Amino acid sequence: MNTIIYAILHYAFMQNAIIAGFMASIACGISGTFVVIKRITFISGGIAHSILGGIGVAYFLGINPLIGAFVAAILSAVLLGIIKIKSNENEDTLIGALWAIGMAVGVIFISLTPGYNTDIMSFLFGNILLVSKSDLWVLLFLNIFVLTTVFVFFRQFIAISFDEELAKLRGLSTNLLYILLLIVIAVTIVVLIKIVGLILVISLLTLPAAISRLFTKSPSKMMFVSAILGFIFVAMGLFVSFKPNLPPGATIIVINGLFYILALFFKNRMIKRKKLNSLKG
Amino acid sequence: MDKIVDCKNVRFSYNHQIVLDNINFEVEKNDYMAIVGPNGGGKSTLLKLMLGFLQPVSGSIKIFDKNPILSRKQIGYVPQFATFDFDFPINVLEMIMLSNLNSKSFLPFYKKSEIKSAHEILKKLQIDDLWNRQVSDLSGGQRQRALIARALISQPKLLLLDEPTASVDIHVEKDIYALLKSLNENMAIILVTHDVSFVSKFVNKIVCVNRCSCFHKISELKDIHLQGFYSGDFTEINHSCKL
Repeated sequence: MNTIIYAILHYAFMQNAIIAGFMASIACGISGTFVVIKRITFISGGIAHSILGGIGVAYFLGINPLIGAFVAAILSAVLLGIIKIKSNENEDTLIGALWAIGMAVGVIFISLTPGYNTDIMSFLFGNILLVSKSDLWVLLFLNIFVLTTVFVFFRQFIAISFDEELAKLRGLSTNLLYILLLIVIAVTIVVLIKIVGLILVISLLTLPAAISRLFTKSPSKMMFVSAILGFIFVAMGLFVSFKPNLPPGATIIVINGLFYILALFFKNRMIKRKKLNSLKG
Repeated sequence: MDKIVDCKNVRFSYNHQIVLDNINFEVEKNDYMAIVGPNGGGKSTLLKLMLGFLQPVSGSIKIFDKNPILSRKQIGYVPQFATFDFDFPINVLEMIMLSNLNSKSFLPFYKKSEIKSAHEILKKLQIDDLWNRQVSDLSGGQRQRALIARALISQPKLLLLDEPTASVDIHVEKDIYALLKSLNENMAIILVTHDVSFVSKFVNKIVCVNRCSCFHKISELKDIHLQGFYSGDFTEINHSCKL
């Protein structure tokens, strides 16, 4: 315990990790709420995994992989948005295809790039301990984008999540709003990849929101609570993984999952007790 | 004249299969019309055409003399209640106010006047004490009232309802028809239903839809057997009713 507090106080990488975790939690609380209430986990998974294509191409060209990830995320968000809008029965298949093709492209470009790059592992499974100062600036910028977009379009996003027909009837541009929402989610995924990597990103995006969904009654409260939960899980993962030198990303996800199971159990008990009380009363 | 809906020779097809053909009817001011017909007969499709979610292959639907898309502001829509997603974290008041949005509704705040008028609608429908409740916690009848309130907040001139009484008990059903009857003083109402016997006491027009349409004014109906138009149970339905 003392060692980790010492590390936080004295090492820049630990401070960066905490700040990155904090920013990631905000973005993840906001976007995760929409992913859960609009039930678009699978689409978000498609965006997350196809990002590997962008990372691979960026490595090959020798540019910052975060830029590659960003471009790929936006591209696949727009593409998936269009697929949904033109939707027919095979929407699911198309998402799955984009998911796999994106990853395959990434693998091919990475293998074409000479030399072995350990950084790839950190994109796949994340490494919050490797967040640099310049990464923090990128995360801050992306966070501001997520926050302002959702703040401005909050009610319109809620409308398309709740009842798309009504939104259309009231003259909202539901298709553009949908693509914008996917872009917000895509940007969030890029932020989260630094923390837990693209393989594990979906659980950090959805589980804190799913937990707070059980105990809150409005999307805005849900965002707030899931951001706090997200930060607690990231911090806990960091602490738990530090001494035994476990991979922090995976540790964060395991903690996340355990708390989700606990929350489900707790909620079930609450409902049962409520029913019992109403029977007695 | 006060023509609100004008449906002429409308044909619609899904993947080259004709779902609706030769649909004709008119709705005027203060009309209360029911669209009836067997399941899969195209009732809901017809409603979607009137909302502009679908476009006819041929023929025309005009609402307030315009394409339905351009008249949407004057339309209140109550979606099919049985398939509506009530499992959304939102309370009654907020759900109702969402219906007030337009493409320039930015930032997450509501105006005081919006909140006030939402409460007024809720009072009118006698569910104002539930404003703070989650929509998932409401009973069947309360949910239906909340959805009607939501449609009313934009002060429509035409109210469209898709199966408003499916899966509510008979008591609530009566209640809802009576409520609609009172709303009918200020707006035209069109509802899709399959329970003809009940609704014919309230409405003044009926369109029977089963691929093609048959338009009746209740006052002109005596005892029509729609042989061949419906199959099975529906051939026996007696359209006569007293108003």
